[in-house]
Amino acid sequence: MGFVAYVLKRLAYLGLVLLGVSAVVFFLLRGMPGVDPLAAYIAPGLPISQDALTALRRELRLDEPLPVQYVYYVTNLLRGDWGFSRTAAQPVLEALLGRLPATIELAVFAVVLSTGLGVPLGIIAALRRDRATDVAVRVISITGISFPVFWLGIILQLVFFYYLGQLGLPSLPSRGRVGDLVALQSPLKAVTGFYVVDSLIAGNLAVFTSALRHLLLPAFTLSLISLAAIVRIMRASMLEVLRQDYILLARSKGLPLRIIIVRHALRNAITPVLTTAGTTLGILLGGAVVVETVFSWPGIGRLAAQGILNNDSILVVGFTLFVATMMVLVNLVVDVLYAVVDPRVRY
Amino acid sequence: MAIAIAGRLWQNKLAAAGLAVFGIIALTGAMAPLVIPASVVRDVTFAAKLTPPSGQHWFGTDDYGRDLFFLVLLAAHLDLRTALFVVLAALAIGICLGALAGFVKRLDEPLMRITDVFLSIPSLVLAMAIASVLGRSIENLSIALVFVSWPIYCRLMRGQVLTEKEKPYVRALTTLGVGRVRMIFRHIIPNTLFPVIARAPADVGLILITLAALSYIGFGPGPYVPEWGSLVAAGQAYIFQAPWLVTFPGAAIFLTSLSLNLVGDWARDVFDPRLRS
Amino acid sequence: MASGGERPAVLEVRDLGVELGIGGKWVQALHDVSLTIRGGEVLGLVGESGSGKSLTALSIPGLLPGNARVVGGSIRLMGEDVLGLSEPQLNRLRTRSVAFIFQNPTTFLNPVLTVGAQISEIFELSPELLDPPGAGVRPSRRSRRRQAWAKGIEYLRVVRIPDPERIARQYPFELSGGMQQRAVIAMALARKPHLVIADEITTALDVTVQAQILSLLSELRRSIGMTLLLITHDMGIVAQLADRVAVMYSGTVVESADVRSLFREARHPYARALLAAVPTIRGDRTIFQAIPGSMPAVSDPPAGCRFHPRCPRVLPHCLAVRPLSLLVGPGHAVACHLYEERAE
Repeated sequence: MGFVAYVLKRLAYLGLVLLGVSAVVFFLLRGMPGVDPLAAYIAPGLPISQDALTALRRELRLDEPLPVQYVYYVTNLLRGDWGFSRTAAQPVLEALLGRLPATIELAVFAVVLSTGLGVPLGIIAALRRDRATDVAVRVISITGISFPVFWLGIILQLVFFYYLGQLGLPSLPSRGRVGDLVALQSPLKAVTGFYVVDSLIAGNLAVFTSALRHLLLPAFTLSLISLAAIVRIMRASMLEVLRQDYILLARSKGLPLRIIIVRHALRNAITPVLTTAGTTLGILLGGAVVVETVFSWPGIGRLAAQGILNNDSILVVGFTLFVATMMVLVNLVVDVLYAVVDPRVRY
Repeated sequence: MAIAIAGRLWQNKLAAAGLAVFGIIALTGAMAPLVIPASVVRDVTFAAKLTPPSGQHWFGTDDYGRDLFFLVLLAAHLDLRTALFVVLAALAIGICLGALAGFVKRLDEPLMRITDVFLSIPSLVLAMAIASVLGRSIENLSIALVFVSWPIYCRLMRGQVLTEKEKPYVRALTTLGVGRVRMIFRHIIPNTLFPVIARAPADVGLILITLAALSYIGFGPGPYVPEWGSLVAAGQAYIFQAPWLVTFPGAAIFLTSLSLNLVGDWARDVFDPRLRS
Repeated sequence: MASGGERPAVLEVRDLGVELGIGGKWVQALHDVSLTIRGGEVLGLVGESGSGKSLTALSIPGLLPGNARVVGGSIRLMGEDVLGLSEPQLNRLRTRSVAFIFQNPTTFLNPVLTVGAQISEIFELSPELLDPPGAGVRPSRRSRRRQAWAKGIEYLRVVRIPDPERIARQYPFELSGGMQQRAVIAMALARKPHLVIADEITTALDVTVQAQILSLLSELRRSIGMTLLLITHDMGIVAQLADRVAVMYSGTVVESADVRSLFREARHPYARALLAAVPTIRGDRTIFQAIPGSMPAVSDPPAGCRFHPRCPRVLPHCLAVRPLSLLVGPGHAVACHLYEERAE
């Protein structure tokens, strides 16, 4: 019973947070002092008649007091009406949802890479307290945080696409999700929108390999941000856990090291990593905007960036709300995982 | 044992190196606008465009024929100034509000909810949203970044104040008759400031990168105001013909951020003993 | 020490020396520690905190902390030298020969695993502890797990935990301190070890629970003939449970004898003072006889006999030379210059 109640409590809290975010976003759209709310809806440079302007004002209910406008705004949001994006020539929600799979595919690969590399590296660093490993871990984590993500992506492009190609070595592609030629020759039927999954389902090996190759560089770039953090946290957490008394008892039982690490230590040590998973996703989503721009990856991040260049505030603001919703959902999942891993939380 | 001590010294050497490097960058950045003529940015010399690094142009030239080395130095000025301003402003706001939240019970709950909302949106995204509504300029970008950064400091400060209030020495001083205001300003606040401020150097590095990233995406000033991020963006079009255009500005960002992080690590160790492993 | 060849020695510690790394230097924490425990015997290891009892005990299964190293002597368990063993060999030792029970059960139980999981994993690790399957039957992993779980519950019952099936499914933080300690004892017994080491196992519990645990140990001793190294600072527990006693002070054994001899005629001034400090109900002692001074720090021991600054019968000889342990009676050894002429 504790488990369900816990989840419901978290759900309620996160719902409130989302409401708060919608308020912030609304304020950005309509309430900013010195900014005309109508400006966002009009393409600059295009002549527009006074009647059209008045009609627009009425439709947006701009003459009503702000709180009333907010209520209408939220109702629209819940109905799925997030406004229309000039940049995408589509309603905002549709535009975002359409490009979401691309971003998720990228983010998932990045998370897999960073945890798949970070957790073992952190464990190894905790087990080996010698000078060389310690220094290596420091270097990795500090370098990882200091790297500007967009620059890393560009450099990787330079090295792996251009220079490798120059040398005649097999190189990694630098743009898009799948090779243009491949896409033409063996078109993919979209089921989930995840190229890797869809191509497997359809048995389309050409697209599968091409999609994987295209994922490598951007996913790796994106993963680097969180890799450093994960290694650091995992190492610190593991060190802390290994000092605990119950590990001594486990050792005294004669349990082999492998079992001690996996069964006794890991479950206790992984919780801080889970906590950061929530914030890491946020950083990843922010980073996705940049990485998608660098690699011309057709996800929601790149759409948002294009919206910026286009002065499409409605899109940008909708993107913000969308991202916040995703974060909230992920936080909920993390909270649930928490309760699964650590039984003390449920009470 | 020997390993731990050596580790600490080694860390200090790194931090010292970081401080030195940052000092050099900051100094050159500060002096840049005074020493480098504005003509460097304005004058277009098509004849010299896209030349690789040489004795005459240390970092090569861009597509307008301008010397990249000077551009990078001038950009240092803008970037460092902006990043420092953002962090200082965010610190000021965050510390004040955080202290308020810690001391005034009724303000605590609403302030925490507000910071919750802000913290649930990734900083880059929120900064993007604010800046896009305000309009594209470095000033608006700074404002956006300040908005994005203050919640963390507020939270930290509040936590610190709450913990500090409960400490035995506070209660002891109260029984001795020390007044509330004096208690707050002479005792509690000084003890709480250190861990919060310890984050500042590393955060300057973080803000710097965010600033450059936003500028790279398109928020940056035009080609006549040098900024590291926009220099990289401009250079990306010529990445294969003229790789130096993206390499040097990016390396500048990396180096500055790295040195700041080294100093920041050391600062955290010194000022925030809780984090010592 | 070598009094007759009755039951074979389960544990023989001879002249054990252990150094601790403190503040960048190695200091001698244990010197010339010698103990013998025979099968079915309970040896009480007594001393103040810091006397080296736990360190001695931890050396036996090779669980010394990272900043400690053995610098001399030998430890033989069932005749086999322990100090030279590699880690995998030590693991085998810990699985079947030596079981350790620690002081504070709450911190020594893994909070995220159920009690049942923590005890049944012992059986999963050593399937030979389970009942052998019928002839020709290859137990599947699943049936082995079920067997291990059932066996675990059996042992929970042995330590008198009520409703063991339910308790096994619970997490440690849901149990009281006494129950937690019983569970840890069950984990020790499950391995049918040759030697059980109990390090201050009742210190963290309140008095009534302490009495229950002690009575449990007493009963186990009778029923399964447990060989026990019982570490404590409480002479009362020693009187209740031990067959033999070894008194430690500042890193060495100052006196060892069977329990009756020690209580009746302790020789070493420290041992006598310890016994005198125990308040009795008999009423003829109303003043607490505390021992003046305190145990020297490990890093800065006095020269000669380490007890000499606090000894009421100190001789000039004591300040210079460390006394060796000598027999003063059958099975009774003392390390004190006072008895040197009378040594055999």
